[in-house]
Amino acid sequence: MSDKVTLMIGGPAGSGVLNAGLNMFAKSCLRSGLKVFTKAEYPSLIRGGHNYLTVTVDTEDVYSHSNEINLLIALDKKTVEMHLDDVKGGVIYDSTMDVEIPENVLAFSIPLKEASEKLGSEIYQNTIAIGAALGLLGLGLEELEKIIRENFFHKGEKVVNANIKAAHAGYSLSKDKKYPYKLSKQNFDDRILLNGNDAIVAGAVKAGCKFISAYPMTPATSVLTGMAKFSRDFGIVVKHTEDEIASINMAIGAGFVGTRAMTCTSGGGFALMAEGLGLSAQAEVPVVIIESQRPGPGSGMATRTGQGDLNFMLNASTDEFPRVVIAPGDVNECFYLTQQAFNIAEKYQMPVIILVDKFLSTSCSSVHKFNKEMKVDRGKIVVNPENYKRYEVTKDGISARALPGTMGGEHVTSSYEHDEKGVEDETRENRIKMHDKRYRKFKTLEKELSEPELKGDGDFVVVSWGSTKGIVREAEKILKQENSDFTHLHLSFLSPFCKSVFEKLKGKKLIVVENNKTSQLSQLILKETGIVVNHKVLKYDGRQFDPEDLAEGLRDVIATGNEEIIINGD
Amino acid sequence: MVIDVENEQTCNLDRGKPQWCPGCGDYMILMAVKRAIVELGLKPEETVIVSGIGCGSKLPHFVNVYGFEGLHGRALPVATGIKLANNKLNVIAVAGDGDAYGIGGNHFLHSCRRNLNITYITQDNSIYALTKGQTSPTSEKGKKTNSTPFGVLEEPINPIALGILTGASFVSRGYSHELDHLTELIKNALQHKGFSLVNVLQYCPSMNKQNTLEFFKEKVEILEGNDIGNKMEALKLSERKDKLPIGIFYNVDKPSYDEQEPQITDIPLVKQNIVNIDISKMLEMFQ
Repeated sequence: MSDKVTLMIGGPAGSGVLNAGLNMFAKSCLRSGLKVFTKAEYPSLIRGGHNYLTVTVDTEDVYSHSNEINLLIALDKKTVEMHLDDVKGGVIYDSTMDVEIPENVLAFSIPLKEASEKLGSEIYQNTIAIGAALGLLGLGLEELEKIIRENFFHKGEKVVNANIKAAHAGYSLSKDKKYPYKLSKQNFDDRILLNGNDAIVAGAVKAGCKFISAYPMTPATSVLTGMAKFSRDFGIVVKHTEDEIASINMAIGAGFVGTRAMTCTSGGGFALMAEGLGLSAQAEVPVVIIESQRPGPGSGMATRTGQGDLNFMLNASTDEFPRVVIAPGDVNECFYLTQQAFNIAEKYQMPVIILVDKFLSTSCSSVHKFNKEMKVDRGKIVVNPENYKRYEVTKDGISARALPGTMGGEHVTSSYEHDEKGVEDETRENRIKMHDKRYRKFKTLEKELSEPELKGDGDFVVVSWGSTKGIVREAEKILKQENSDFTHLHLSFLSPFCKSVFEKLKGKKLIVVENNKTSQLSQLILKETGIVVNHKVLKYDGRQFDPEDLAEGLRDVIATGNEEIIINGD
Repeated sequence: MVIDVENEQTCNLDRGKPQWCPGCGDYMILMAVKRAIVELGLKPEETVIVSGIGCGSKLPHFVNVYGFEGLHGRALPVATGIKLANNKLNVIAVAGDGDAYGIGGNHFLHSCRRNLNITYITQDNSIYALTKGQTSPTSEKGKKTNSTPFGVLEEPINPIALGILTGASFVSRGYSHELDHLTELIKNALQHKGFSLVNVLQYCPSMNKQNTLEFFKEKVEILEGNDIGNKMEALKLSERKDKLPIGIFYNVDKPSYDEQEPQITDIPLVKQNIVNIDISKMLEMFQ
């Protein structure tokens, strides 16, 4: 039975609402044994603008946010104005705030500012409000106190005590009030709460990535800074480069000598990496590229989400060459598929792109501690080369690498078309031989990958990729309550593309769900399988689908056979 | 002077012969690089030459060490990744003037201030030769080329001054047809700890009709007695127009990037264990 509660905290950028919502409220819930999902929305500004974070908490697994807000913490008037319509529950706000709260919403006017100033500064309002929320929801302050001690330890006893006092001040203002939504402690099963970028960093560290060269670009920056944070613990060299061109070329240089290397960026930075992508393919040097999408083109919307870069990832750079495009669907996949990406990159000596987006990069999910042992597969590497050929033509298309430092392996790794020894060779015979060889590696890889799972039962098959995975699963929960069901096919590999699973779907009706206008996945399915996708549920307003809206869209398609449904706007 | 490449040590005949124009300065630069490697006793397997794209960027093919022939303008970032990943390797990057100071100009500035322990040899003939004669960042103002038929309007870049001002700890200029001098310069650069620039004035017999052998003969002058630790003196010398001084302009001892990176001071990245890495402590931070 679901006991889902969604809290939203909103306020001006720079007021610490995201931090308070995540590190104080969401982590209190996590440590209380509850399942948590957080989603952040913020403008590309350091001060001002409107920031908000939703924290969806449940006793059972929760795969995405929810558009129904059961408790709103409004640290400014704008938060009330923007989100009041979605509130089914109550609002906590400062008593001096001039707002009208309708009767169907419980109003908790609390002297946040006054209580904060009593503690010596305005900055404690967040903590007071979180204390008040925990009081209303009945969860207690036990976990929050521990968290405050850990988080503010480095700032000294004074800051720790002031924040604990602030939490208690909020708690005492609300704990005796009646509230229809309650959270209760569950058995803590050793979960962790992290976002997609955190999980990519953890996966890369686990996979033995020792080098990252990158240029900051929202929403991928926290992969760079996350690797930097752990660099001394794990012996990783982190290079903040002069531009993205340098980023990919440095990572390729590091990969050439045998270090597992990656770079991270968003669409604009990836555009600068396009030539380097081709270099990796032609020179057959492994590289892993994290691309976190934001809406474009040009600078677009830095802090919003979208899935408009799929075609770009599949086609970027000159001519044609195999590349791997992996789109993790959730935090777990961010961890495990990042590990796999490093194995594939080295084994097949080609570029591997991990395609995420702002929603997955920044949304936190409570998952079991990653524990599976990882097999490191470095592919063919020669130790004592004799008559060595760097690009030897082989049956599986893979030639052994000789890493610099290996006697007898001296050769030129080249971005020009080359013969088996790496010497430039533009003859027709050689060109065909080498082009075929590069594609043969891809065939070998295809055989290694397992077919994606078909989940659920129903004549309609919802096909999704990337960050919409959790939204589809939550929409499925909603529709199941209405005895409506569908089959779910989630694609984590876009290249190579698994055709065989589509053969099983003959006679079924496909509904593609994605965050772009032209349904790029439908285009890909048509190209790869010849299947014309008749039904699409799309959104391209820079925000992720809400599961309730997606459920409505799917309900509509299933009931009426509508071809294309666009869900834009809140 | 015609160089008999086939008889030189460290030349790998499997990789074919250079096909530069007869008399091209690239032959001399190749020879100087090979002599420097042999005379310093660098092990072929521990030496990597990285290049970009251009006539001179074919150079890695003709030296029997590890080579990486990358993209136009991107020799330095590849070389940087190589050195950071395995700082036990001797890393040399070579690039022409368009490659180094035009399309790759940004990497040059940042490589100088990074002061990573690599050697950068630029084959500077003041012209785009492989694409048959367009203006380059080091072309003289007023020079007529096929992309500037009425003369270049821009001032040329001064790579020596740029290197000194942006933080390179070894800045030098050589001339392709002063082979012994160039070989010594490259040896000095390879032995230097930090980023070392060897900007080589290069004779191009086919595409640059102004900078002839006679021109160089008259202009080139070997530096003697200059104070290589004096930045202002070095800058002043680099601005000389009456003569083109060759030699070491600037050479100072300061920490290189790699020796300030504690992750690689004991063992190179590439030698680190990557199997069964324990991330349990890291994961606890997410609770």
